[in-house]
Amino acid sequence: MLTRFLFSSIVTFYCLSALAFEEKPLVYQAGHPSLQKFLLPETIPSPADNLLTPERIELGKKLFFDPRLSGTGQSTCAWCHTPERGWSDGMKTGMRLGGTKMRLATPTITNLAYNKTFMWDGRAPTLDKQGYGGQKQASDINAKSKVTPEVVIARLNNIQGYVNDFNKAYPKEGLTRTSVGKALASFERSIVSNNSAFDQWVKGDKSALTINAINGFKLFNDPDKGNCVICHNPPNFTDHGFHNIGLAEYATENHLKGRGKHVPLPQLDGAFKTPTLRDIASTAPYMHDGSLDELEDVIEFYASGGEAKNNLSPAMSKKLNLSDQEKKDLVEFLKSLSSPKTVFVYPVLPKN
Amino acid sequence: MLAKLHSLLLITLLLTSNSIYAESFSIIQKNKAFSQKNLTISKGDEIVFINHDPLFHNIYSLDVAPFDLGAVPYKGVQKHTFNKTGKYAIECAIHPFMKLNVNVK
Repeated sequence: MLTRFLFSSIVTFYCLSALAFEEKPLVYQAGHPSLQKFLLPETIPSPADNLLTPERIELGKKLFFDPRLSGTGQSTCAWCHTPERGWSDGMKTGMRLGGTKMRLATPTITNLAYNKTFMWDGRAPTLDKQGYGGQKQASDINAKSKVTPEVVIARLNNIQGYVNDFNKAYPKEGLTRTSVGKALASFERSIVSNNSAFDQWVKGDKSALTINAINGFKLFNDPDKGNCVICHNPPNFTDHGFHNIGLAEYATENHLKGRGKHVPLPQLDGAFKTPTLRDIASTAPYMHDGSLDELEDVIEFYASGGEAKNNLSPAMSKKLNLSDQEKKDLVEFLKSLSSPKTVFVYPVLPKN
Repeated sequence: MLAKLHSLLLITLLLTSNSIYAESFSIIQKNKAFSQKNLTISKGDEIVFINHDPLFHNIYSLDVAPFDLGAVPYKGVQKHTFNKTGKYAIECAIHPFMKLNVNVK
Protein backbone atom coordinates (compact mmCIF):
# COMPACT_ATOMS: atom_id res chain seq x y z
CA MET A 1 0.00 0.00 0.00
CA LEU A 2 2.84 2.37 0.87
CA THR A 3 4.45 1.66 -2.46
CA ARG A 4 1.28 2.48 -4.32
CA PHE A 5 0.77 5.63 -2.27
CA LEU A 6 4.28 6.85 -3.08
CA PHE A 7 3.96 6.00 -6.75
CA SER A 8 0.54 7.59 -7.01
CA SER A 9 1.70 10.75 -5.24
CA ILE A 10 4.76 11.15 -7.44
CA VAL A 11 2.82 10.61 -10.67
CA THR A 12 0.16 13.04 -9.56
CA PHE A 13 2.82 15.61 -8.64
CA TYR A 14 4.44 15.43 -12.07
CA CYS A 15 1.15 15.49 -13.94
CA LEU A 16 -0.22 18.42 -12.00
CA SER A 17 3.04 20.41 -12.12
CA ALA A 18 2.81 20.31 -15.92
CA LEU A 19 -0.53 22.09 -15.73
CA ALA A 20 1.14 25.33 -14.70
CA PHE A 21 2.57 25.66 -18.20
CA GLU A 22 -0.67 25.16 -20.09
CA GLU A 23 -3.77 27.14 -21.00
CA LYS A 24 -2.21 30.42 -22.04
CA PRO A 25 -4.63 33.31 -21.55
CA LEU A 26 -6.50 34.75 -24.50
CA VAL A 27 -5.42 38.16 -25.79
CA TYR A 28 -8.44 40.07 -27.11
CA GLN A 29 -6.82 41.70 -30.14
CA ALA A 30 -7.92 41.05 -33.72
CA GLY A 31 -5.74 38.38 -35.29
CA HIS A 32 -3.87 37.48 -32.09
CA PRO A 33 -2.31 33.98 -32.15
CA SER A 34 -4.05 33.00 -28.92
CA LEU A 35 -7.42 33.31 -30.69
CA GLN A 36 -6.67 31.10 -33.68
CA LYS A 37 -8.08 28.02 -31.98
CA PHE A 38 -11.53 29.58 -32.54
CA LEU A 39 -11.22 29.12 -36.32
CA LEU A 40 -12.66 25.97 -37.89
CA PRO A 41 -10.27 23.83 -39.97
CA GLU A 42 -10.09 24.95 -43.62
CA THR A 43 -10.71 21.41 -44.89
CA ILE A 44 -14.09 19.92 -44.08
CA PRO A 45 -13.48 16.64 -42.25
CA SER A 46 -14.99 13.41 -43.59
CA PRO A 47 -14.41 9.73 -42.75
CA ALA A 48 -12.01 7.57 -44.78
CA ASP A 49 -14.84 5.41 -46.12
CA ASN A 50 -16.87 8.41 -47.25
CA LEU A 51 -14.46 11.14 -48.34
CA LEU A 52 -16.16 14.31 -49.48
CA THR A 53 -16.47 14.70 -53.26
CA PRO A 54 -18.62 17.07 -55.38
CA GLU A 55 -20.55 14.08 -56.75
CA ARG A 56 -21.44 12.82 -53.28
CA ILE A 57 -22.48 16.28 -52.09
CA GLU A 58 -24.73 16.85 -55.12
CA LEU A 59 -26.29 13.42 -54.81
CA GLY A 60 -26.94 13.91 -51.08
CA LYS A 61 -28.48 17.28 -51.83
CA LYS A 62 -31.02 15.69 -54.19
CA LEU A 63 -31.91 13.00 -51.66
CA PHE A 64 -32.25 15.57 -48.88
CA PHE A 65 -35.00 17.36 -50.82
CA ASP A 66 -36.63 14.34 -52.45
CA PRO A 67 -39.96 13.12 -50.96
CA ARG A 68 -39.50 9.77 -52.70
CA LEU A 69 -36.95 8.99 -49.97
CA SER A 70 -39.77 8.91 -47.40
CA GLY A 71 -42.14 6.03 -46.89
CA THR A 72 -45.17 8.20 -47.56
CA GLY A 73 -43.59 9.86 -50.58
CA GLN A 74 -44.59 13.19 -49.07
CA SER A 75 -41.91 14.16 -46.57
CA THR A 76 -38.27 15.15 -46.89
CA CYS A 77 -35.31 15.92 -44.64
CA ALA A 78 -35.92 19.57 -45.53
CA TRP A 79 -39.42 19.28 -44.05
CA CYS A 80 -37.71 20.13 -40.74
CA HIS A 81 -34.24 21.30 -41.82
CA THR A 82 -35.01 24.30 -44.00
CA PRO A 83 -32.16 26.34 -45.49
CA GLU A 84 -34.02 29.63 -45.08
CA ARG A 85 -34.53 28.96 -41.35
CA GLY A 86 -30.95 28.25 -40.36
CA TRP A 87 -31.42 24.60 -41.38
CA SER A 88 -33.96 24.28 -38.60
CA ASP A 89 -37.72 24.96 -38.84
CA GLY A 90 -38.38 28.09 -36.82
CA MET A 91 -40.88 26.25 -34.62
CA LYS A 92 -40.75 25.53 -30.91
CA THR A 93 -40.59 21.80 -31.55
CA GLY A 94 -40.58 19.74 -34.72
CA MET A 95 -43.74 18.71 -36.49
CA ARG A 96 -44.36 15.38 -38.19
CA LEU A 97 -46.17 14.95 -41.46
CA GLY A 98 -49.83 15.28 -40.56
CA GLY A 99 -49.26 17.87 -37.89
CA THR A 100 -48.24 15.84 -34.83
CA LYS A 101 -45.94 17.92 -32.66
CA MET A 102 -42.69 16.37 -31.51
CA ARG A 103 -41.25 17.02 -28.05
CA LEU A 104 -37.83 18.22 -29.18
CA ALA A 105 -36.81 21.27 -31.16
CA THR A 106 -35.36 20.64 -34.60
CA PRO A 107 -31.59 21.13 -34.29
CA THR A 108 -29.71 22.94 -37.03
CA ILE A 109 -27.55 20.78 -39.28
CA THR A 110 -24.99 23.57 -39.78
CA ASN A 111 -21.39 22.44 -39.16
CA LEU A 112 -22.29 18.81 -38.46
CA ALA A 113 -19.02 17.88 -40.20
CA TYR A 114 -17.16 19.09 -37.13
CA ASN A 115 -19.31 17.21 -34.60
CA LYS A 116 -18.38 14.11 -32.65
CA THR A 117 -21.86 13.26 -31.37
CA PHE A 118 -25.16 13.27 -33.27
CA MET A 119 -28.84 13.75 -32.39
CA TRP A 120 -29.96 15.50 -29.20
CA ASP A 121 -29.42 12.29 -27.22
CA GLY A 122 -26.31 11.09 -29.04
CA ARG A 123 -27.91 7.88 -30.25
CA ALA A 124 -26.31 8.03 -33.70
CA PRO A 125 -22.59 7.17 -33.46
CA THR A 126 -21.68 8.90 -36.75
CA LEU A 127 -23.28 11.26 -39.24
CA ASP A 128 -23.31 8.47 -41.84
CA LYS A 129 -25.15 6.18 -39.43
CA GLN A 130 -27.59 8.96 -38.65
CA GLY A 131 -28.42 9.20 -42.35
CA TYR A 132 -28.92 5.43 -42.39
CA GLY A 133 -31.10 5.34 -39.26
CA GLY A 134 -33.10 8.37 -40.29
CA GLN A 135 -34.60 6.40 -43.15
CA LYS A 136 -36.49 4.25 -40.66
CA GLN A 137 -37.12 6.46 -37.63
CA ALA A 138 -40.78 7.21 -37.01
CA SER A 139 -39.73 10.68 -35.90
CA ASP A 140 -37.89 11.37 -39.12
CA ILE A 141 -38.96 11.38 -42.73
CA ASN A 142 -40.62 7.98 -42.57
CA ALA A 143 -43.28 9.25 -40.17
CA LYS A 144 -46.66 7.46 -40.19
CA SER A 145 -45.55 5.11 -42.93
CA LYS A 146 -45.36 1.34 -42.81
CA VAL A 147 -43.15 1.32 -45.87
CA THR A 148 -39.75 -0.11 -44.96
CA PRO A 149 -36.46 1.50 -45.99
CA GLU A 150 -35.82 -1.53 -48.20
CA VAL A 151 -38.96 -0.73 -50.22
CA VAL A 152 -37.81 2.88 -50.53
CA ILE A 153 -34.37 1.76 -51.75
CA ALA A 154 -36.06 -0.45 -54.37
CA ARG A 155 -38.15 2.56 -55.38
CA LEU A 156 -35.02 4.70 -55.84
CA ASN A 157 -33.33 1.93 -57.82
CA ASN A 158 -36.12 2.27 -60.37
CA ILE A 159 -35.16 5.89 -61.00
CA GLN A 160 -32.42 5.80 -63.63
CA GLY A 161 -31.13 9.25 -62.71
CA TYR A 162 -30.35 8.08 -59.19
CA VAL A 163 -28.79 4.84 -60.41
CA ASN A 164 -26.47 6.90 -62.61
CA ASP A 165 -25.66 9.32 -59.78
CA PHE A 166 -24.83 6.50 -57.36
CA ASN A 167 -22.65 4.80 -59.95
CA LYS A 168 -20.64 8.02 -60.21
CA ALA A 169 -20.53 8.86 -56.49
CA TYR A 170 -20.27 5.35 -55.03
CA PRO A 171 -19.19 3.11 -57.95
CA LYS A 172 -18.27 0.16 -55.74
CA GLU A 173 -21.36 0.35 -53.54
CA GLY A 174 -24.31 1.08 -55.76
CA LEU A 175 -27.62 2.38 -54.43
CA THR A 176 -28.16 0.86 -50.99
CA ARG A 177 -29.48 2.06 -47.67
CA THR A 178 -25.88 2.49 -46.51
CA SER A 179 -24.80 4.54 -49.52
CA VAL A 180 -27.95 6.68 -49.23
CA GLY A 181 -26.92 7.43 -45.64
CA LYS A 182 -23.42 8.29 -46.81
CA ALA A 183 -24.68 10.62 -49.54
CA LEU A 184 -26.98 12.42 -47.11
CA ALA A 185 -24.07 12.80 -44.68
CA SER A 186 -21.87 14.20 -47.47
CA PHE A 187 -24.40 16.90 -48.29
CA GLU A 188 -24.81 17.75 -44.62
CA ARG A 189 -21.03 18.05 -44.22
CA SER A 190 -21.02 20.66 -46.97
CA ILE A 191 -23.25 22.98 -44.91
CA VAL A 192 -20.62 25.07 -43.18
CA SER A 193 -20.65 28.36 -41.31
CA ASN A 194 -17.08 29.62 -40.93
CA ASN A 195 -17.11 33.17 -42.26
CA SER A 196 -18.82 35.16 -39.53
CA ALA A 197 -17.86 38.64 -38.35
CA PHE A 198 -16.23 36.89 -35.40
CA ASP A 199 -14.12 34.74 -37.77
CA GLN A 200 -13.03 37.85 -39.66
CA TRP A 201 -11.98 39.50 -36.39
CA VAL A 202 -10.04 36.41 -35.32
CA LYS A 203 -8.28 36.52 -38.70
CA GLY A 204 -7.22 40.13 -38.10
CA ASP A 205 -9.98 42.48 -39.28
CA LYS A 206 -10.16 45.01 -36.41
CA SER A 207 -13.39 46.52 -37.71
CA ALA A 208 -15.28 43.23 -37.89
CA LEU A 209 -16.51 43.31 -34.29
CA THR A 210 -17.93 46.13 -32.20
CA ILE A 211 -16.48 46.95 -28.80
CA ASN A 212 -19.61 45.49 -27.24
CA ALA A 213 -19.25 42.21 -29.13
CA ILE A 214 -15.60 41.95 -28.08
CA ASN A 215 -16.62 42.57 -24.50
CA GLY A 216 -19.29 39.90 -24.90
CA PHE A 217 -16.59 37.51 -26.11
CA LYS A 218 -14.53 38.27 -23.00
CA LEU A 219 -17.55 37.59 -20.79
CA PHE A 220 -18.21 34.39 -22.74
CA ASN A 221 -14.76 33.10 -21.74
CA ASP A 222 -14.49 34.58 -18.25
CA PRO A 223 -14.96 31.81 -15.63
CA ASP A 224 -16.23 34.41 -13.16
CA LYS A 225 -18.74 35.90 -15.58
CA GLY A 226 -20.50 34.10 -18.45
CA ASN A 227 -18.25 31.04 -18.48
CA CYS A 228 -20.20 29.87 -21.54
CA VAL A 229 -17.00 28.44 -22.99
CA ILE A 230 -16.98 25.65 -20.41
CA CYS A 231 -19.50 23.85 -22.66
CA HIS A 232 -19.40 25.87 -25.88
CA ASN A 233 -15.78 25.13 -26.73
CA PRO A 234 -13.90 26.43 -29.79
CA PRO A 235 -13.90 26.14 -32.70
CA ASN A 236 -17.49 24.97 -33.26
CA PHE A 237 -18.71 26.29 -29.92
CA THR A 238 -19.66 22.89 -28.55
CA ASP A 239 -17.97 20.32 -26.32
CA HIS A 240 -19.92 17.57 -28.13
CA GLY A 241 -21.03 16.65 -24.63
CA PHE A 242 -24.27 16.04 -22.75
CA HIS A 243 -25.56 18.22 -19.94
CA ASN A 244 -28.72 18.67 -17.91
CA ILE A 245 -29.06 22.45 -17.99
CA GLY A 246 -32.15 22.63 -15.77
CA LEU A 247 -34.91 23.70 -18.13
CA ALA A 248 -38.34 23.94 -16.51
CA GLU A 249 -39.43 20.96 -18.62
CA TYR A 250 -37.17 18.70 -16.51
CA ALA A 251 -39.35 19.36 -13.46
CA THR A 252 -42.39 17.85 -15.17
CA GLU A 253 -43.42 14.27 -14.40
CA ASN A 254 -42.92 12.98 -17.92
CA HIS A 255 -39.74 14.91 -18.63
CA LEU A 256 -37.50 14.22 -21.58
CA LYS A 257 -34.79 11.68 -20.70
CA GLY A 258 -32.22 12.70 -23.30
CA ARG A 259 -28.90 10.89 -22.97
CA GLY A 260 -30.23 9.09 -19.91
CA LYS A 261 -32.47 7.04 -22.17
CA HIS A 262 -29.38 5.31 -23.56
CA VAL A 263 -26.89 5.37 -20.67
CA PRO A 264 -28.25 4.43 -17.22
CA LEU A 265 -26.37 7.01 -15.17
CA PRO A 266 -28.37 9.37 -12.91
CA GLN A 267 -26.49 12.48 -14.04
CA LEU A 268 -27.47 11.83 -17.67
CA ASP A 269 -31.19 11.89 -16.98
CA GLY A 270 -32.43 14.97 -18.84
CA ALA A 271 -29.00 15.61 -20.38
CA PHE A 272 -28.86 16.78 -23.99
CA LYS A 273 -26.11 17.54 -26.46
CA THR A 274 -24.48 20.95 -26.40
CA PRO A 275 -25.46 22.56 -29.72
CA THR A 276 -23.15 24.70 -31.82
CA LEU A 277 -23.57 28.46 -31.46
CA ARG A 278 -22.55 29.22 -35.03
CA ASP A 279 -25.40 30.87 -36.95
CA ILE A 280 -27.30 30.94 -33.67
CA ALA A 281 -29.16 34.12 -34.64
CA SER A 282 -30.95 32.16 -37.40
CA THR A 283 -32.21 29.25 -35.31
CA ALA A 284 -34.71 30.68 -32.81
CA PRO A 285 -36.47 29.50 -30.73
CA TYR A 286 -33.79 28.06 -28.48
CA MET A 287 -32.93 25.13 -26.20
CA HIS A 288 -33.70 21.45 -26.86
CA ASP A 289 -37.37 21.97 -26.03
CA GLY A 290 -37.61 25.26 -27.90
CA SER A 291 -38.85 26.96 -24.74
CA LEU A 292 -36.93 30.22 -25.08
CA ASP A 293 -37.84 32.64 -27.84
CA GLU A 294 -34.91 35.06 -27.98
CA LEU A 295 -31.19 35.06 -27.29
CA GLU A 296 -31.89 37.56 -24.50
CA ASP A 297 -34.09 34.92 -22.85
CA VAL A 298 -31.28 32.38 -23.11
CA ILE A 299 -28.83 34.69 -21.34
CA GLU A 300 -31.40 35.42 -18.62
CA PHE A 301 -31.97 31.70 -18.18
CA TYR A 302 -28.29 30.94 -17.66
CA ALA A 303 -27.83 34.02 -15.47
CA SER A 304 -30.47 32.59 -13.15
CA GLY A 305 -28.60 29.28 -12.90
CA GLY A 306 -31.41 27.23 -14.44
CA GLU A 307 -34.93 26.43 -13.18
CA ALA A 308 -35.09 22.69 -12.43
CA LYS A 309 -31.94 22.39 -10.34
CA ASN A 310 -32.16 18.87 -8.92
CA ASN A 311 -29.88 17.23 -11.49
CA LEU A 312 -27.85 20.08 -12.94
CA SER A 313 -24.68 19.52 -14.91
CA PRO A 314 -21.62 20.50 -12.82
CA ALA A 315 -20.94 23.10 -15.50
CA MET A 316 -24.16 24.85 -14.35
CA SER A 317 -23.00 25.21 -10.77
CA LYS A 318 -23.80 28.85 -10.09
CA LYS A 319 -25.81 31.92 -10.99
CA LEU A 320 -24.01 34.37 -13.25
CA ASN A 321 -22.99 37.80 -12.00
CA LEU A 322 -23.85 39.87 -15.07
CA SER A 323 -25.04 43.47 -15.38
CA ASP A 324 -27.74 44.38 -17.90
CA GLN A 325 -25.10 45.83 -20.22
CA GLU A 326 -23.00 42.68 -19.96
CA LYS A 327 -26.00 40.58 -20.92
CA LYS A 328 -26.51 42.79 -23.98
CA ASP A 329 -22.84 42.44 -24.88
CA LEU A 330 -23.10 38.65 -24.70
CA VAL A 331 -26.05 38.72 -27.08
CA GLU A 332 -24.13 40.98 -29.45
CA PHE A 333 -21.24 38.55 -29.43
CA LEU A 334 -23.56 35.61 -30.15
CA LYS A 335 -25.04 37.48 -33.10
CA SER A 336 -21.53 38.00 -34.48
CA LEU A 337 -21.22 34.21 -34.95
CA SER A 338 -23.46 34.20 -38.05
CA SER A 339 -21.93 33.86 -41.49
CA PRO A 340 -23.32 36.04 -44.30
CA LYS A 341 -26.50 34.58 -45.77
CA THR A 342 -26.26 33.24 -49.29
CA VAL A 343 -28.99 32.25 -51.74
CA PHE A 344 -29.49 28.53 -51.57
CA VAL A 345 -29.89 26.81 -54.93
CA TYR A 346 -32.36 23.93 -54.75
CA PRO A 347 -31.51 20.74 -56.64
CA VAL A 348 -33.22 19.43 -59.77
CA LEU A 349 -34.52 15.96 -58.90
CA PRO A 350 -34.25 12.95 -61.23
CA LYS A 351 -37.44 12.06 -63.08
CA ASN A 352 -39.35 8.89 -62.33
CA MET B 1 18.13 22.30 -6.36
CA LEU B 2 14.88 21.68 -8.23
CA ALA B 3 16.69 19.39 -10.65
CA LYS B 4 18.04 17.32 -7.74
CA LEU B 5 14.56 17.04 -6.25
CA HIS B 6 13.16 15.87 -9.56
CA SER B 7 15.98 13.31 -9.91
CA LEU B 8 15.32 12.00 -6.43
CA LEU B 9 11.64 11.68 -7.16
CA LEU B 10 12.32 9.91 -10.45
CA ILE B 11 14.68 7.42 -8.77
CA THR B 12 12.04 6.73 -6.15
CA LEU B 13 9.52 6.28 -8.90
CA LEU B 14 11.69 3.78 -10.77
CA LEU B 15 12.54 1.80 -7.64
CA THR B 16 8.96 1.53 -6.47
CA SER B 17 7.48 0.78 -9.88
CA ASN B 18 9.15 -2.63 -9.95
CA SER B 19 7.60 -3.56 -6.68
CA ILE B 20 5.83 -6.87 -6.36
CA TYR B 21 2.92 -4.98 -4.82
CA ALA B 22 -0.07 -3.47 -6.60
CA GLU B 23 0.84 -0.71 -9.00
CA SER B 24 -0.60 2.66 -9.79
CA PHE B 25 -1.05 3.91 -13.36
CA SER B 26 -1.75 7.47 -14.41
CA ILE B 27 -4.15 8.44 -17.20
CA ILE B 28 -4.46 12.06 -18.25
CA GLN B 29 -7.63 13.58 -19.71
CA LYS B 30 -6.50 16.18 -22.25
CA ASN B 31 -8.23 17.67 -25.31
CA LYS B 32 -11.22 15.45 -24.50
CA ALA B 33 -9.23 12.25 -24.87
CA PHE B 34 -7.54 9.82 -22.53
CA SER B 35 -3.75 9.69 -22.75
CA GLN B 36 -4.02 5.99 -23.67
CA LYS B 37 -6.69 4.02 -25.48
CA ASN B 38 -5.76 0.63 -24.04
CA LEU B 39 -4.19 -0.40 -20.77
CA THR B 40 -3.47 -3.79 -19.26
CA ILE B 41 -3.10 -3.96 -15.50
CA SER B 42 -3.22 -6.55 -12.74
CA LYS B 43 -5.97 -7.25 -10.26
CA GLY B 44 -5.64 -4.83 -7.35
CA ASP B 45 -3.91 -2.13 -9.39
CA GLU B 46 -5.05 1.45 -9.29
CA ILE B 47 -5.55 4.02 -12.03
CA VAL B 48 -5.15 7.70 -11.24
CA PHE B 49 -7.11 9.97 -13.60
CA ILE B 50 -5.96 13.59 -13.86
CA ASN B 51 -8.03 16.18 -15.72
CA HIS B 52 -5.91 18.58 -17.80
CA ASP B 53 -8.94 20.08 -19.61
CA PRO B 54 -10.49 23.35 -18.39
CA LEU B 55 -13.92 21.70 -18.14
CA PHE B 56 -15.63 18.86 -16.29
CA HIS B 57 -15.02 15.23 -17.09
CA ASN B 58 -16.33 11.97 -15.67
CA ILE B 59 -15.14 8.39 -15.38
CA TYR B 60 -17.43 5.40 -15.41
CA SER B 61 -17.72 1.81 -16.58
CA LEU B 62 -20.72 -0.49 -16.67
CA ASP B 63 -18.59 -3.63 -17.07
CA VAL B 64 -17.52 -6.42 -14.63
CA ALA B 65 -17.66 -4.33 -11.45
CA PRO B 66 -19.47 -1.14 -12.50
CA PHE B 67 -18.32 2.16 -11.04
CA ASP B 68 -18.99 5.86 -11.55
CA LEU B 69 -16.45 8.31 -10.16
CA GLY B 70 -18.69 11.31 -10.87
CA ALA B 71 -17.70 14.67 -12.29
CA VAL B 72 -14.19 16.04 -11.91
CA PRO B 73 -13.19 19.68 -12.55
CA TYR B 74 -10.07 21.10 -14.19
CA LYS B 75 -6.94 19.86 -12.37
CA GLY B 76 -9.07 17.38 -10.43
CA VAL B 77 -7.77 13.89 -9.60
CA GLN B 78 -9.80 10.67 -9.37
CA LYS B 79 -8.62 7.18 -8.45
CA HIS B 80 -10.08 3.75 -8.88
CA THR B 81 -8.77 0.36 -7.78
CA PHE B 82 -9.68 -2.63 -9.94
CA ASN B 83 -10.32 -5.62 -7.70
CA LYS B 84 -11.97 -7.88 -10.27
CA THR B 85 -10.39 -9.30 -13.40
CA GLY B 86 -12.01 -8.67 -16.76
CA LYS B 87 -12.31 -6.15 -19.54
CA TYR B 88 -13.61 -2.68 -18.70
CA ALA B 89 -14.82 -0.18 -21.31
CA ILE B 90 -14.34 3.16 -19.58
CA GLU B 91 -15.96 6.35 -20.83
CA CYS B 92 -16.61 9.93 -19.83
CA ALA B 93 -20.37 10.23 -19.31
CA ILE B 94 -20.31 13.86 -20.49
CA HIS B 95 -18.12 13.24 -23.56
CA PRO B 96 -18.86 9.65 -24.67
CA PHE B 97 -16.26 9.70 -27.44
CA MET B 98 -13.60 9.58 -24.71
CA LYS B 99 -12.91 5.88 -24.41
CA LEU B 100 -10.36 3.77 -22.52
CA ASN B 101 -10.21 -0.03 -22.57
CA VAL B 102 -8.73 -1.55 -19.45
CA ASN B 103 -7.90 -5.25 -19.28
CA VAL B 104 -7.48 -6.39 -15.68
CA LYS B 105 -5.61 -9.71 -15.43
